[in-house]
Amino acid sequence: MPESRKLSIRVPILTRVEGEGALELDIDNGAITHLKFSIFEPPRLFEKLLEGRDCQEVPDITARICGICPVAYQMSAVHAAEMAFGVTISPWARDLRRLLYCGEWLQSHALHIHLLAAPDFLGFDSALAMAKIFPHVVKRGLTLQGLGNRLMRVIGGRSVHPVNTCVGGFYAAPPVAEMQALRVELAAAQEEAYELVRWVARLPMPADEQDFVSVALQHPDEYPFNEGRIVSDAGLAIDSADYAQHFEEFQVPHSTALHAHLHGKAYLVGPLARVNVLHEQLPAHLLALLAGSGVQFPSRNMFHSMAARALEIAYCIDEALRLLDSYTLPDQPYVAFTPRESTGFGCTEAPRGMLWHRYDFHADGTVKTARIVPPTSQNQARMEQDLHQSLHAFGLDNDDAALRLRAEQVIRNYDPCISCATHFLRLKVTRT
Amino acid sequence: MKTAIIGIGSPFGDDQAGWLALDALQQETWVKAQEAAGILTLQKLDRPGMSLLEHWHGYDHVMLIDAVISTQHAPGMLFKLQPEELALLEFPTSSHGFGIAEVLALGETLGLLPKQLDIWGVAVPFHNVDSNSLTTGIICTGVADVLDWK
Repeated sequence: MPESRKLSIRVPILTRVEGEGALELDIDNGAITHLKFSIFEPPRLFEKLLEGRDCQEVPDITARICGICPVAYQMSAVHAAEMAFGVTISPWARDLRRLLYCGEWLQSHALHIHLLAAPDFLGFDSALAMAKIFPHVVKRGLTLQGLGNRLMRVIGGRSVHPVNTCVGGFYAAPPVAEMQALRVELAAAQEEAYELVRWVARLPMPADEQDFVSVALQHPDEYPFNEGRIVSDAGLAIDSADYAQHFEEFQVPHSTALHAHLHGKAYLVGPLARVNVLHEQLPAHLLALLAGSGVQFPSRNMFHSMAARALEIAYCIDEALRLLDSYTLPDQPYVAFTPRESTGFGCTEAPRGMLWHRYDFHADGTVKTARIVPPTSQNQARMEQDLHQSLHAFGLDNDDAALRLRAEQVIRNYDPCISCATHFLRLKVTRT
Repeated sequence: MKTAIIGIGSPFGDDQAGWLALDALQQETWVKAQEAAGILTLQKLDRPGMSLLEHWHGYDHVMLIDAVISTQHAPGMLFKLQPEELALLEFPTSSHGFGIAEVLALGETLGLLPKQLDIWGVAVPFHNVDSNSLTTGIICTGVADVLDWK
C-alpha cells in the first residue's frame, strides 16, 4: 500500500560524472527520512599545492582544477594577485578577459543544455537519442559550443586549460585577423542563439516554485564576469574581501567537498541566481525572447536554470561581438608589477556561479596560503534542500523510475561539476 | 582532397600511443611534402570529446589513431579497426570526456562525419594510465600500413 511504502535508494557510485559522488534517499510512509548528496572524490589538495608557487604559476595551476571552466579559475586567481599587488590592468586586457570568459560560458552552457540537460525535458534518455529527432537543435548546440571553444583557443592558446592569462594581462595579443574571423562566425550564429532562447523557454518544465536566496556578482555598468560586489536578492551587498564574514564553509560527514552557507542558510549561485539578481542588466531585446513563454525572471523555479543558461549564451554572443568590434593590437598585452607581501581576493562568475579565491603572498610573490571556494561546493546545500522540496512536490508515491528521473533532473539543473552527466543515477531499491 | 590524420591521447601512460604514431608518421618524407602542399594535416589531440567534430570539419578523409588495449597484437602495432569493432569501444565514465564511440554515433546521426573515415588502433598491452611513461618496449610499428591510403 502506498501509505506504508518504504523506499530506499542507494546510488553508491554516480556514473558518468565529473567527479565521484552518490545519492542516498530513504522514503518511509510518505516522507523523506534520509537524503544525502554525497561527494566522496578524494580531496585534490590544490590549495596546499599552490603554497610556495610563484604568483604567475597560479593561473595555470588553478586552471587544472576544471577542464570545462579553467578560465574562471584563471580569472579569480589573477584578479586576486592584482588586488594584492596593486596592479591596474589596461582597458584592452580587461576587454579581452571579458571576451575569454564569453568563450567559456558559451562552450560550458551549450554543452550542458544540449548534451546533458535538454534530453530530460523531452523524454529522451541521451543526447544521441534526442539528435535523431531534433538534429538541428543538437547541431545548433554543437555550433555554439564550438564557437566558445574557438574563442578560448584564439585568446587563450587552447580551448582546454588555456595558457595565455597572466597577472597583469595576457602573455600575447591574439592576431587581429583571427579575431575578425571569429567575429564573422559569431555574427552568423547570433540569430541561432536567439532561437535557442526561444526554444529552451518553451520546453515543458515542471512547475515547482521554491524559496531560495540567489547570490551573484553585481557591477554597476555591466553584466558581470570579473568584477563587482557580491549581492543577493535578500539584500546582501558586500565586497569580495568580506566574503568570509558572511559565508561559512563547513564539512559534512558525507562529502569531501565543503558545504557553504550564507548567514547560516543554503543559497544558490549560477545562471539562475545571476539572471534573478541581474536581469535588469540584460538587454531588453534578449529578455523579449522570453515573451509568450512560461519563463520570466526573477524566477523561483529551479527548472528555469536552463532558460537562464540559454539567455546567457545569447548575451555572450552579443557581448563578444561588441568587444570584437573594437579589437586592436595593444602596445603591450600586460603591465609590469612588483610583488609585495599582501593578501588579495578574486571573485568572478564561473559558468556554474561565483568562484571566490583568497591568496596570502610572500614579499617575493610566492603563495603563502590559498583558499578556493568553487560554485559546486556552494550549491551543495541548496541541492539537497531542492531535492527534498522537489521530490515532495513531485509526489513520493511516484514509481521508482520516475523518482530517479526527477532526482536526476533536479541535480542537473545545477550543472554541477560532480554530476554534469546524463542519466547517472543507478537505482537500487529495497522495499520492506 | 584534404586529409587529416588525428592522433588521440593523453599524457598518461600508454594513452600517449596515438601521439607516438603521429610522431612516427611525422618522420616520413612524403608526409612532410603533403603537409607543405596543404593537402595533409597531422593533429595531436588530448581527449577531444565532442570537439572532434570540429577538428575534422572541412576534411574529406580523416584517419583517427588511438590507443587500444589488445593482447593479440604486438605492443605498438598499428591495426585498422573494423566498423563492427567500434561498437565495442568503451563509453566513457565522465560526462566531461565523451568517448570516440559516442562522438562517431552523434556525428553519424547529424551527418557530420567525413566522407571517408578510417580508425586505427595502436596496440597497448594493458591499461597502464597511472604513470607518465609508456609501457617499456612500445615502439610504433606498422606505420607503412597506415600510409596505404595515399
